Amino acid sequence: MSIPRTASTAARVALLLLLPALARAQDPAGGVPSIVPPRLLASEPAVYPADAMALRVGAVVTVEILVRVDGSAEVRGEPRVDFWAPDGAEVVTSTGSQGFVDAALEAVSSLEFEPARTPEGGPVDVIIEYAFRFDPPAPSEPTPSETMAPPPVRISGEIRERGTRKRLPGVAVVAFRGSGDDVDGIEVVTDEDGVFRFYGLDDGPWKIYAEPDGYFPFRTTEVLAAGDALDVRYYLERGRMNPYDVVVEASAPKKEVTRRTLTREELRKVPGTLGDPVLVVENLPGVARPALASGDIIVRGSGPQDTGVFIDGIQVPIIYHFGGLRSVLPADVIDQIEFYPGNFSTRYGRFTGGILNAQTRGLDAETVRGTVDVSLLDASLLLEVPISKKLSILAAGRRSYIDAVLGAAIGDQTVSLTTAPRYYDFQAIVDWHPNRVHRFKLTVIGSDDELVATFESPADIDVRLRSGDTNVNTTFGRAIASHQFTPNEKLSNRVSFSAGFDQNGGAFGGQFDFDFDTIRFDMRDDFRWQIIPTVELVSGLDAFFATTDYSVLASRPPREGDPVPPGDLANPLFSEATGVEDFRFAPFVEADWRLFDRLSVIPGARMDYFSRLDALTFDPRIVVRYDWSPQLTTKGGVALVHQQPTLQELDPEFGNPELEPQRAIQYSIGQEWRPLDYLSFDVTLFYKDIQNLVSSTGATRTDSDGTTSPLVYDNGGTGEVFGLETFIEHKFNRNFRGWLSYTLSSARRTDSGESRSRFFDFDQTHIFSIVGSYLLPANWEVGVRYRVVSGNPYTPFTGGIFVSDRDEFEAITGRVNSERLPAFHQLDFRVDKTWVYRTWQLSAYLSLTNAYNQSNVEAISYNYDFTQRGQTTGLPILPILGLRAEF
Amino acid sequence: MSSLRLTAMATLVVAALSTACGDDFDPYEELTGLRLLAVSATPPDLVQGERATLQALVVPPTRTSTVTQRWFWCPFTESVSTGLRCALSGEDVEALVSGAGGDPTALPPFVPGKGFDLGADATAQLDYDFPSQVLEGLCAQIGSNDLPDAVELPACDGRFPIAVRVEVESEGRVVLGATSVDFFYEPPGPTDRNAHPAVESLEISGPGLAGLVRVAPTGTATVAADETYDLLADISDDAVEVYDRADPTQPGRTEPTSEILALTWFIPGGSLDRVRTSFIEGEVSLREAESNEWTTPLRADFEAGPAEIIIVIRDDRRGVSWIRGSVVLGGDS
Repeated sequence: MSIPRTASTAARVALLLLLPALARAQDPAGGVPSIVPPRLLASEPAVYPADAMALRVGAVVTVEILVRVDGSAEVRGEPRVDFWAPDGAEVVTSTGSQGFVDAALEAVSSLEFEPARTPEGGPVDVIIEYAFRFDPPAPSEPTPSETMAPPPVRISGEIRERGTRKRLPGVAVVAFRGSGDDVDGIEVVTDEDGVFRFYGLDDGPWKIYAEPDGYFPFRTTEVLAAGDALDVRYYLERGRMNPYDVVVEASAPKKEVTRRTLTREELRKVPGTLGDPVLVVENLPGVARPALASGDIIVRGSGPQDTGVFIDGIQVPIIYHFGGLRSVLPADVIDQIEFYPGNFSTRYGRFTGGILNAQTRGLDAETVRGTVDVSLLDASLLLEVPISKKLSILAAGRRSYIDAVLGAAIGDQTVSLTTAPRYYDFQAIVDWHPNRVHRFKLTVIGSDDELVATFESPADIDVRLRSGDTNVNTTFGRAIASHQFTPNEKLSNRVSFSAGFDQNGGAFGGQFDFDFDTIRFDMRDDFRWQIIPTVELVSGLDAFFATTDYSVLASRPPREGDPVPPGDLANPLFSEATGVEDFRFAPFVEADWRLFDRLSVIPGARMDYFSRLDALTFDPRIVVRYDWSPQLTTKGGVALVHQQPTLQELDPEFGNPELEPQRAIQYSIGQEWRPLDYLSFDVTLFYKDIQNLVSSTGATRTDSDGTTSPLVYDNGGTGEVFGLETFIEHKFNRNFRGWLSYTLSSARRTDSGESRSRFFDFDQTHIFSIVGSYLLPANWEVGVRYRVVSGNPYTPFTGGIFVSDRDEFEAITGRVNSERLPAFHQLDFRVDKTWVYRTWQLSAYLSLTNAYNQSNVEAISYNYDFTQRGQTTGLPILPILGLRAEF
Repeated sequence: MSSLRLTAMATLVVAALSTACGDDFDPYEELTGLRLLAVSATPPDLVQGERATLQALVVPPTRTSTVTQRWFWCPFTESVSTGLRCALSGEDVEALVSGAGGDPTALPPFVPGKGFDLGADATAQLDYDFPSQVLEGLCAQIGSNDLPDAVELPACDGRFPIAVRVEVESEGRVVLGATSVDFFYEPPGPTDRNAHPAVESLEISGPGLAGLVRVAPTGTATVAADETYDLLADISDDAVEVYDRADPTQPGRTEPTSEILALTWFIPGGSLDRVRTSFIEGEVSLREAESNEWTTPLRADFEAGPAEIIIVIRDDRRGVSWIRGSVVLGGDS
């Protein structure tokens, strides 16, 4: 089909611009020599096209021109047209080339150059970009077209994506009639809002045609009656609803030895995670498989409390809801997950394990959008509303109904779940970016987990219980206000303030009762300054103030290495305090120094003040990266990190208020290789030396009044973790995305007063996982995950002693963590199907966890007197069906 | 205190799952093999000059099995994870007793790891025949001596718990048991002394039985296979004592509190509605604690003949007693 462009009739020159930048020399050797650009010797003015007279728009036509050694010019490639309104206020609708291209092409033939020259002085062919600027004629200047009425708009409309209603800019839309050689038609291109207009079409039927790349062809017929002007909206369906090409953002250059960034769209469909991106972290190198339903994040053998979890850089008490099946942020609110298994930036500190930061997303909806997600676990609703182009709001909420599922599973046995485990969370985001320099964001998040159970026969649980009532709840909320200031590319500052609360309470059988209420204020500032092209400075402040009221009536919680909770129901400890203040303040600085275009040296330092310990720590760190080539990088780093003991460890009744910070020195060295754009290999060796490790002790202390009491804990422990992490990633390409992760590690500690080391509770020698997803036609997607993980160490029970007062046998234990559970292996599947409707889309998924029903051993069980052993196995094959509607 | 939260969560999950899921182990309530069901000291606490009689409720593997018992006591034990081993050597104890003004030569023979030997009879005698100042002195010395790390330090709140250990052996199998006896070294308060609770009688009703039938030690009530029977333990209201319980949240303060009574039911086979029942003032009534349901074994598992039902009753102050009765596993209902 041939679509003739409307012919130019008359006009005058506007402006001619020569872009002096040299594009590329046609050097047979393929090199890029330093070349003297061509010089313009002669030109004829380009003529303002008559077709554009009615609109009075301005335009710049950019043409690629081959300047030959004889000085002649020849057009290469398709010219590009950019329009603007005469008053400069708003970009006007693009309506085809309106003759500008023809006018520009005609003008090219008049160009005459002095040819470009090589450094040796010889002429050489080069390709340059040449721009013709057309200013519209001033209204005061009479033109032939002014005597004519502008042609009327006959068809105007929008092109949107079917299902998501996203506006599609840059789509060529053709209106034509006739057939064969007798075709008459006009082509226009949608503007940035997806809007197009056809002017001056005659009455009668017009066929409309559009076929942008990646979309199914769109055809329809519009009939123009006399005097009619149609306003239409067309929905184009993607050839494939590919979630992976939605987000196209360059990832920040790496400044750490190991940083894994997981984007929401990439990870929603990983099998076995129920669509929760945070759970995907468990499949990354260095992360151990947590115990069933624990929700722990175990990084490089450290305990769960050694890894900090953050949302938008602000620390939160939990990242998972009850049972570890869901994170406290739904996938639709998360932009990306940053995970650092060690040697992290000085922006972070106070944790000797890893750092996990869930970044909420910015708002970019063009129209009201929303999602409804329903699964067997929970249901969620999200609504995003653009108030203006610069201001958007989002509100979301989720509520579980595990209570109903678990209640049905337990039935009417001895426990009645008044409020069986249930959680809810909510999020609200206000995003305002008045201009390119400022961006303000307010994020409000909240989470609540609660379980209330009543044991019909308390004595069946323990003869010492005074009640059958049991409950536990965890609630937290944060309001995070941030301001991003980016005056130019070299300078930026992001400051965040957060106010929030943590509440954690519970009671057990009338014997234990605890309640913690914390009010917390956080402040974080990240300042970035590109001092010179090769040096970037990052500095800032990471501080918080918290005040806690607590009351605890309970036995001492089990610690790392304790084989069984040593709970003494009959003689609980009691401690309470009000206004326990915790102020931590940490200025940090980091420089990224690029040397010889290959070497990055990133030294940094962080100083932490811990008010509860009245301690000041200094953490120097350094990361070095050397690029052997764009594909090959060697990296390494050393970091010192400090961590405050937990509140319980510092409590005078439950622990030892004289404890000092734990510290760890982290070493990493590794290699990255990216043979293809979508394929990368990463191997990292790591070693962590832990000192001042809080450890149980049988020693006693003498208080000021002369009384003696157990010291409970001291800093006499040490630890050592080392291993190898391998990560092979295949980014989305040819409909496939996946990765392989393998960790070989050893995590051992020596407790206070002991001469022999033992395994940490979460030492897992081998951690292997492979994850892959494949897009199929018709919006089907299949995914698979397979994991093989060494079993956790455990302390065997060698017998039991019958304690008559408690009417139960108590275990006699063997050497701590001297045996290991059998290896874990599991296969998970996931199938997704998306149906795309005009203004919304519906997705259904079936997740099959533990597809071959492997009975993985989660713990060793014993009979009542510990003379028989059995195995407690994990979840059997678990199919979960979910539905998700997006509009 | 995230670890506290995790502990609470884990406890609840374990509790919920353990009540929801069974396993293949022999159930606690089923009387199979050598069983040690209770260890009692009568009286449960002593003042200086008193003697306690120690007794174990043992069910032998078979009616003809021979059972032996051996008794020990120790003032300081290691943690329960090491089997409540006596934490001191004989010399340590002698030194401690001497240091506290006692006479170490009056002590019985000492067995390392177990304690002072009280003999191998079915019952043993534990005498508080030394000055109470000895215990007071021991309390004063706690912390100033290099006790082993794992020692469970006594509270020393006017009483000193003496650990009692019993080793029960039959047909080559040994079962360890433990209890403790409070020795008062300060004059006990009016409600501090405890008395054992008791089940007055045990009765059964159900298919084939004419109303409530008393289950006597030599009872002849005949029950059928795979049938459900009501069991009724008669507990006197007087069994529930009121005592001044220390308020753990306010040191030095006590409040009158009714004892918890917990009944553990043992059967020859089949299943119980509840393994334990309890009386908790304001929570669970005594009537609820007294009743249970027993579903007798299936015919395939039914070994005809006399069979024993035992109820052990405990309070939360180390008071314990039991009642034994016998029924006949007989024909169909």
